Amino acid sequence: MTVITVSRQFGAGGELLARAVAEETGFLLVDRKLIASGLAELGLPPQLVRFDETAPKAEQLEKKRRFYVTALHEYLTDLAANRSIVLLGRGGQFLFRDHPDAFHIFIHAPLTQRVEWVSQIYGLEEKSAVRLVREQEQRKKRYIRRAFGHSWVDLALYDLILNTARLTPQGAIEIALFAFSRFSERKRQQLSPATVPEIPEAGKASPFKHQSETEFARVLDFYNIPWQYEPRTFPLQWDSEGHVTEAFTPDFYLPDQNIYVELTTQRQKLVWRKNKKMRRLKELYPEVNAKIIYGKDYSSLLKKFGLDKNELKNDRRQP
Amino acid sequence: MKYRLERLLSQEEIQAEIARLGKTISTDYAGKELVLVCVLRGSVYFAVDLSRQLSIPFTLDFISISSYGQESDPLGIVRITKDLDVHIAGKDVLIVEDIVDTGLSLNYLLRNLKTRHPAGLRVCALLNVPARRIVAVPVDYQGFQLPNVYAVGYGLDYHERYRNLLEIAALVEEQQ
Repeated sequence: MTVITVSRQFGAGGELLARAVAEETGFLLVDRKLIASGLAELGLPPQLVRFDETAPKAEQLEKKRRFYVTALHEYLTDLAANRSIVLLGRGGQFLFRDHPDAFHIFIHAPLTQRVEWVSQIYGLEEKSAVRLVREQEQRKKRYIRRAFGHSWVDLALYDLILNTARLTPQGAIEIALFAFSRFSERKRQQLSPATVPEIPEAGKASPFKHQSETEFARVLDFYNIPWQYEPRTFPLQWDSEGHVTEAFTPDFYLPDQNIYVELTTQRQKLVWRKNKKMRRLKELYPEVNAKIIYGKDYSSLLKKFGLDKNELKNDRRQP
Repeated sequence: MKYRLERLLSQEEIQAEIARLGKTISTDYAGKELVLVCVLRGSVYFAVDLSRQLSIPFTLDFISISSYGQESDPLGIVRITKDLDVHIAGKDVLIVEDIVDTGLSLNYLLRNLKTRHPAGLRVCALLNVPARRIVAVPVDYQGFQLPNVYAVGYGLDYHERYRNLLEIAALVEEQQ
């Protein structure tokens, strides 16, 4: 589904814009509060849910960072798999950098303008407003640097950069909506019928990659076991900017059994990579059941059904 | 491809284990209306020997389901090719299987028999190969647990051969 990320300088009106865009598009607004409660529900320890606010010791930092980004990424990817969202802050520009249907907005305004707005909204004196803006600015920078190891001031991260002081907050909202509608149109044109990927339906003919997968699906159909083909990709590694560098898409999911099945017909020597991925999958997603069917298992399966090509000759009976 | 057979279980080991299973089942099903459901064809040998070790009354019946790859239509679906002759509603059913490996056919059988409302439905398998399981199925009485090998003999065949062996052996590919 579509993801609109809104990154903003503190006091530039990013919240206002995100809310208005969510309202207009009907997308779910995902902010810090929603994510914190979502991560807490997933069972993430409270000190990690508040990773952005705490100052972990240096030696723990890397471990915690990886854990937090992994959980955050997984939570948001899951969320965005089912519905379109407007993501406010949280490094969405990094988390969804390679997402094919993500639109990235950056909102900024000069310091003097932001101080003016902040002092109006919070009823603060100018001096206090400056202080608040500076503090928040530091916190945001620290969060992005810690979590993603990258500066947020990188033009390449954004599709649309708006100065709310020049455009007025309302003008910025209108432009953002217009720009997003153009982005969606362009996507629609790209997805001409010839390029729309076929969505495999459970139990129907699907674009399998290997003959063994076709056969396996037939076996499951025969025994009336519901299945889905490659329904989920599990990110396994991220680089310092939050990009997925390694992922694992098991071939089948059997919903009645709640198990993912990976078929491999490679020789036993060559399966170490898949074994490694499977171990990593179990580390990161301990709640997921998954198993590999090795070449040996598969050939036993075919043997059992009398489908192996090998003929039985010259056997020596010596049990 | 050449194969050779490597003995896994001797005739004596098999019979001793079946005697043990028979004793346990006789105790567990004492006073109940037991129906042994033998799954054709491989389980015949086991079902016969097991039934001879039971010291309680029972009814013996047979069921056969089509197996993948043996249908003329490769996109067919599993079906019962020989159904039970007795009604099992309200009775205690024990499915007798020679081997449980992928669990695919047993899963189907359990789902099918459950709809007939037996008082109890359990599984007795001489051989269990959990390493090859694709769908989870219960095995209430297990003779031997085997590693991931292709077993033949004592009812288990490879292209209809070796069923009549008195022992159980692994079919091993010979390195060329």
